[in-house]
Amino acid sequence: MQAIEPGAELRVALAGQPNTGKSTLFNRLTGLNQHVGNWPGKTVEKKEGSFSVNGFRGQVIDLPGTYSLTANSLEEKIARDFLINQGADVVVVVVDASQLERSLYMAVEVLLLPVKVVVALNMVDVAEKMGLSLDSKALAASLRVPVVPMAAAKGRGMEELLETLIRVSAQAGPVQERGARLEQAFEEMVGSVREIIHGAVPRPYTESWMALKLVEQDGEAAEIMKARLDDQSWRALQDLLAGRQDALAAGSAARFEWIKEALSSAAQEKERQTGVFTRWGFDRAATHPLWGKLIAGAVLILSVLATYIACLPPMTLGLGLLIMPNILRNALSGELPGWLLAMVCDGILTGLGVATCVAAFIAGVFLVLGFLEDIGYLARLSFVFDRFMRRLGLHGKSFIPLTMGFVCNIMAVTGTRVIDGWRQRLITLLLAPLVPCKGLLVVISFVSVVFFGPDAALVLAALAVVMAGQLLLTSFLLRRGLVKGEDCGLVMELPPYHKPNFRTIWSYAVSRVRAFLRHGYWIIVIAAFFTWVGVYYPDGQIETSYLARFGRAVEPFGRLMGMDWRLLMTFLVAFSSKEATLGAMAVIYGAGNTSRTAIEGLYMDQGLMMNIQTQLGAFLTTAGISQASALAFLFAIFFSLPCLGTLAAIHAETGSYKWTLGALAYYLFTSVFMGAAAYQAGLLIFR
Amino acid sequence: MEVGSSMRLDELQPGGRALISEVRGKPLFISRVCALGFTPGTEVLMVRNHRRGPLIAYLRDTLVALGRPEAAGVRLLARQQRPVAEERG
Repeated sequence: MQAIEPGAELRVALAGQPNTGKSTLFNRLTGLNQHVGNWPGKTVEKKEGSFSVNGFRGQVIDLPGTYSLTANSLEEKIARDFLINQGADVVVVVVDASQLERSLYMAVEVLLLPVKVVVALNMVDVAEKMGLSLDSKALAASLRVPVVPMAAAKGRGMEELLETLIRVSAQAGPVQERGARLEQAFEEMVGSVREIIHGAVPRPYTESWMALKLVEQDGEAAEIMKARLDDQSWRALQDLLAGRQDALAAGSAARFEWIKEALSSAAQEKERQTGVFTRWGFDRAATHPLWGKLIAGAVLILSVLATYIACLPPMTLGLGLLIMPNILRNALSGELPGWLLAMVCDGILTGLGVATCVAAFIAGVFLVLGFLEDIGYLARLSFVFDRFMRRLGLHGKSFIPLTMGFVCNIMAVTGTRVIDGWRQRLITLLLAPLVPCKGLLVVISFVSVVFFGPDAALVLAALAVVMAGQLLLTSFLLRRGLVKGEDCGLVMELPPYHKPNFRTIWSYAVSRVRAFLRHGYWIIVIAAFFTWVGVYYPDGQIETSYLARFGRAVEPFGRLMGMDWRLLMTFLVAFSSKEATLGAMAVIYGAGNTSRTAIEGLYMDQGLMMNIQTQLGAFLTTAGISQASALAFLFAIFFSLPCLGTLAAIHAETGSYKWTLGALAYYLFTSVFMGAAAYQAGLLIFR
Repeated sequence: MEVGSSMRLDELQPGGRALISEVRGKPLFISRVCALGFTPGTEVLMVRNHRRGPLIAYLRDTLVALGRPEAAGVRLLARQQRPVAEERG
């Protein structure tokens, strides 16, 4: 590693456990000079940013927040590979001074690697309030790396951190090995392993690290060495390591011993605190089986309200885009060719409007969610709903993404990133299309009221019951056999509550919206455009359009569900986006004086919706749709054709066509099956 | 219960303290709970444990929530102490 010259770019990696204020520090360092993407080939978020100070320019890479650096989870492997391959000049390990013993665990993991380390001792203000006095110099001396006390949320310690970074990066020469303290725990074992693998360890791994990881039964380390060692040495190694399944836990215990030793001289409690029960106050209620759920319910209701308020400003932009076509049409009709005006108004602007409204909603949701996470409450939500989610074969962490599904399934699918363990995450995101989004709920409640009047409540209840059944069945199928792999269940830190840091919350929401603008947004726009093409061409009449022709062609299948080509077309439009469904019905059934092919944006236009309420209802009831057909339509659309955006999100998160097309095929099948079953049932009920 | 015999974390009553003897499960599980501090020899305090549903344990300055099946993978030395007054509730 070479020293850094002024003017050169310093590469800094941020490592640390979740809830240590790592994101806050990252935001302090980089301001809004951030870029959010994915780690190459992985669906784990990669945040990068830049800073410049005293002629030094720096690049900061925010590693995934992890509790350790084993090869057992994707996030940990990413962080570990990045550090081992020396992607950074200096590694900053962020630790929480108020939970020092545990958060130093990650620091110890990083110290075992041959990298330059600076420990950012964050939240010293919180620790002081708790009566903890920390001697950062003593800690630095016993860990043998610089320790910078700071309070990133208040900007305290930032300058010292930057100075230390520059100083440490300028140190020449190789990094000392620091693992000796740990090797003692396994006595001569590490030494014996080192003898076997001597000379065979590929760069950039070090012999001592590899030996330690082999002793600790690390699967990846074993794989690397199996490829490098001859048969005899490999067998000798296996004999040596056999029967040490306890080594992983023993290694962890040794790391904590090391930490205790380092802390014995550095940390003092000024006055004896009574431990956990000083923090327990609100949590006593918030984690209570009954009160906790009531609090959670209240929080969720307030969150929905807050979301609507927060998304208002950007929402006006989307609504503006949706009103534009009316203005344009008045101003430009006659001056532009009809098809061009229709394309701009109905094909492009409305799609942009709808997508912008969804983006606004996502901004609102993530502002609120970011707030709940930043103050520390979010983990409690997962805790209280764990028992409920277990009934679905999931655990508490799936609660939040699936709940977001009520707003938008695309969000639910991307929201599964909060779940650790690939298996659990995959099951949750494949279940997401079963949650009815708000676009779908509007359609369902409208159609059921039009056709079933006061009995609509019964229909909705039937839908809810069948949905519960389908959730259970689908989750069962996924768990039994379809989805392989490991997860560690619910093992979750309940972080201490903190005052909200609005910078962190803001940048979290901004990064989520940016991620949506990169993909989901354009999929909605493109789907809207092609839907318009389908209903406009070849001659501008929806009744004779390509989509209508397609609808007529598959009408024989539709008969199974008692659906004629018009209902089938509505069904197809719902596939492009649920929000467009009502608009499509309005156009297809010729309600009101709506533009013949402007189907996408209608649901956002409140005046028009009122119009549809009165007129579409009348049209639909006189359109010759039987109640059985209407019931079939409701069931078919509810169970649970995913929209294109959701499918695209599933593909983005799984990186697999197998799962994406599998989900499509499965849900298409259940849609048609449920529709047909509902039709037959309807024929019996509504004779 | 005999001293030294094995007991599961989910059997520890609220307010009870015990030493962890062993962690059982798949590597991902073991590495996660160990990194959160559940290493053999550590004293753990049970904070919330109802008959059903997840539980909350306290150790190394940290509140950790564990699902009931997960908690069964953490084994204790059965040396449960009598709950003291401050820890009730």
